[in-house]
Amino acid sequence: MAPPLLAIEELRVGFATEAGTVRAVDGVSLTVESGRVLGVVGESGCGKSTLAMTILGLTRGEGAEVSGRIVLGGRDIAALDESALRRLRGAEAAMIFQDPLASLHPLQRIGSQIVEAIRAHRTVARAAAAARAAELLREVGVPDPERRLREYPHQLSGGMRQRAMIAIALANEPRLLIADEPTTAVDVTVQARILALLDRLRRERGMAVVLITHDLGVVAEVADEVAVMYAGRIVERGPVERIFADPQHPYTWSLLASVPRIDRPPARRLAQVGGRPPSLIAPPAGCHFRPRCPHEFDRCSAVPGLEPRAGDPGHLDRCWLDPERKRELREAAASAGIEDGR
Amino acid sequence: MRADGPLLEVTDLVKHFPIASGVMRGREIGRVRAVDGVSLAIGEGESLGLVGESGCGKSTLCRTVLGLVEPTSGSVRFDGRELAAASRRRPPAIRRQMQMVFQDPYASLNPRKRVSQIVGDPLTIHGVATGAERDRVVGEALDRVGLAPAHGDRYPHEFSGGERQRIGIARALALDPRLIVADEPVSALDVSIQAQVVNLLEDLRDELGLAYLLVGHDLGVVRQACDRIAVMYLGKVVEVGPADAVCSTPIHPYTRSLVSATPIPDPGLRGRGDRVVAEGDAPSAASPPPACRFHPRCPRATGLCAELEPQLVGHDDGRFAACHHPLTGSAASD
Amino acid sequence: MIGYVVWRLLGAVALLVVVSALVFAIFNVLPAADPATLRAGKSATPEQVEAIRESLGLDDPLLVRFGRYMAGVFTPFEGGPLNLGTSIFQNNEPVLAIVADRLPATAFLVAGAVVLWIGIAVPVGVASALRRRSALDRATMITTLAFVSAPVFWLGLVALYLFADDVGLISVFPGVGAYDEADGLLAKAWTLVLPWTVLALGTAAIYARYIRAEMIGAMEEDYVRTARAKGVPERRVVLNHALRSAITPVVTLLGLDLGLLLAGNAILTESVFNVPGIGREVVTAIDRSDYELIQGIVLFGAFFIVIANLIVDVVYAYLDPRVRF
Repeated sequence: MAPPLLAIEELRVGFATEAGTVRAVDGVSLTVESGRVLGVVGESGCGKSTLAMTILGLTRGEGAEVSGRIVLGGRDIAALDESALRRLRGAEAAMIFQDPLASLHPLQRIGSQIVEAIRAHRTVARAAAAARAAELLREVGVPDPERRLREYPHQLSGGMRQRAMIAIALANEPRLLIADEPTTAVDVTVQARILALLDRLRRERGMAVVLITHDLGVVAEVADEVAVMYAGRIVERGPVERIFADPQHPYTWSLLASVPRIDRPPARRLAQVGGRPPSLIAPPAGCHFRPRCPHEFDRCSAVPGLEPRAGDPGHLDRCWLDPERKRELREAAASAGIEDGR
Repeated sequence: MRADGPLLEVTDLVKHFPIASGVMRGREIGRVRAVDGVSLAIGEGESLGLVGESGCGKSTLCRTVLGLVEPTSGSVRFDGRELAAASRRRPPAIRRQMQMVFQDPYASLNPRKRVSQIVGDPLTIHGVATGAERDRVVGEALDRVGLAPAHGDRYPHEFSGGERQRIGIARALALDPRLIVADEPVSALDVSIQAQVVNLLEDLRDELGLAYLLVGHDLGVVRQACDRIAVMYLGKVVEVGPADAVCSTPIHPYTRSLVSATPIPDPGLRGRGDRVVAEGDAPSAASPPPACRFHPRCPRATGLCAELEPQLVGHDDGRFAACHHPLTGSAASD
Repeated sequence: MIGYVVWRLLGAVALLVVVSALVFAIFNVLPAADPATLRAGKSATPEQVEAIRESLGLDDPLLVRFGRYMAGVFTPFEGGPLNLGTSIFQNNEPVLAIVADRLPATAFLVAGAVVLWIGIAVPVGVASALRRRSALDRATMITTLAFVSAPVFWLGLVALYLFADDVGLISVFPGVGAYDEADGLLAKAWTLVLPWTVLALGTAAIYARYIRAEMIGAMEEDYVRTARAKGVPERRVVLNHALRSAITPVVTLLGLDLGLLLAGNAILTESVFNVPGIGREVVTAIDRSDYELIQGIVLFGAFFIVIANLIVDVVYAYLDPRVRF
């Protein structure tokens, strides 16, 4: 099997503040293969955005202390200097962000923003770059691209803007695309089309995609693999079918059970997790989820390693409970929570 | 509990915002038809969810119903009494019975006031209770939303988003209202916190007989929390019915596109064949398409749809839809 | 857009009428000086004063006199296209001619100062923003605070004390009154170096702080993050993305400041260095109660400010496409 395009090993990112170091990412390891989508799912503060930004070194200016390896196409890009990293950004690896209205320059035309992405990495005449920009817009499904090139971001709809951002990201045929909550700020019908677009592009170009989101439905729609993050760590990781059908970590159970579904009768009560996410400056010793976990026991005072405990080598979790017990607990929770009708 | 008539009855409510031209002030060159003839009703202890995408007018509808914005025409009746007419000098008694919870938990609480003040202010303003009595009511309200009375001494910034939203609900509860209008109360919250707030609303409905109008864009949340759902598009209600029915067998094509676009957390259902998503982008509310507003994007549209505006007509089982070519029964695919 | 400009111009005319009415009222209602007496001179007899009063129509009602004045403004005469009256103390020289004569000096002073202060403020502001809390930044903040706080005339006097060739410690630049004596553009420019510096330093300080604040905000914007994610070189990120956004409000500020300065706001600098501009002219006119001249200068000043406002608004719409009329 070909080595993964992206392999992150024991990545740690900390920000120094007056109160102490915020351990935003606390030992994250994951891999993504070409042509596959890894969904990184978690709630606010779990570190998923910091993870995304750190892959491309975008946290460098912000006083972040980064350790660990980020291997892209065989080389450790965490060790690259700034100018080498800049050559990579927007070329070999590209990123799209959450709010396209804020992420596009309000005073520059769409066309020049795409052209800038092209010319940052290749010497191309302006006219040729503009033609390529129109082509890119057409490819991402923007009608009448020549006209759109001359428009400003505020003149486009939310969906069009996000497509323009995708066009910018694709300008130099990246092998890796990082999408940080790309559909959170748009309507659900627009979201469906953007996700379908990303899926198509990924298949056509064989890109690896890291999709950051808090929406489990989005992950179920497009991801091949899922990594669930909590308080700076990955607590569960595996193929998407396994994560949804046979989740191994209590946090994943509660996440899944707290999402209302429209294809089933409403749950009698949505699962809720008491308490709050831990402080990342002084996180609890051992398992980060322990203070909020209804099933914690004495072993949880030691940090569980991310290991395959459920029998499938591709499905890893950070929970000391043995698989039998997990199945019992999960089934008990499921039957308590979901009943037909009201 | 009154049996005669619905608690809240909105009839043909219209709210247009004029667009003034920049050069000659006061000359109107267009109007944004934010709410363009909406009728709905909520009974005592009932929960109605209002869903729609951005620009459909649901927030404007909320504000108009509450009297924060004066309607262009139409009527809003609470407990049988007309509200829209007496908008400025609304009898305070009515105000007390209808309360609002807002979307942004970080902006809707005054950061300079203690929580007990925030929750107690409505009591003071309406002259309902003072002193010890007020403290008691505040304590009860906080307790009901799952916060300790001691939390009253703290300031909003000491609380998380979900807790702040609960404070907002406590504030709404302080006056013992019969109806709460909640404008996207969980949109800014994480999933597991959303669950807390949704559960809270449902509990309040069950324990207190509280009615609520829940406005949101997430069909899943609305379905969970509400008995009935109304779907809005470009200023009009296109479908109303029991929550389960609307989600499982939508009648209006727009509802169907909303339902099929809503992602389901089940990878096994990926690529399900019944996905039908509306074409193009929603037009602006300043220039809605003629006749049926959805017809330019509707896969079922015909010539009739462009000429005659469909009215909200009754279907079986208390369901209503405004469509010339409704999807009936379980025909979720063409 | 054309409609907007026309509308604003009409408004400008209306505003100018109002301003001149106010000025007219002030000078003709205040008891400070009777124009007739002033014109007549020190050794006039009461009959002469009375005669002058009649000839000037000073006994007519205020409104009539104002009407006559406004009508006169728009009547061309041999002194120029607008008749703003004649100066009492300058041999009945037409006010318009006096203003026209003094304007170039002010314009030259202002132009040089603008170039200098933008040239200082932009690099300093940007550099401070990029290196926040560094030694450079702290030094900048302290220095700008000093220059913002220092009164212009004090700075001027200190500059003269240090560098004027006639009275200064280090004889470098021409001293007071040198502008009049200098011949030719370059020579005049040389005499303005000290005034330029003095006028520019205080303003540069304000602008530097402002640009710093705007740049700090701009660098945190999401679109700067996008630019970096595209692999755009950092220099381009700073200039084409952040500075481009930050500069828009500064342009507005600049336009307004220009209007004010041309209207005579460089009073202190001109007075200290005795530069024969509008500011100095208005000081002398006030001193002598030469009300016709004052009135004319105020009117001119109002005109500059109003036009500057209009230009600034139009330019802003050009710079920020989200703003449309």
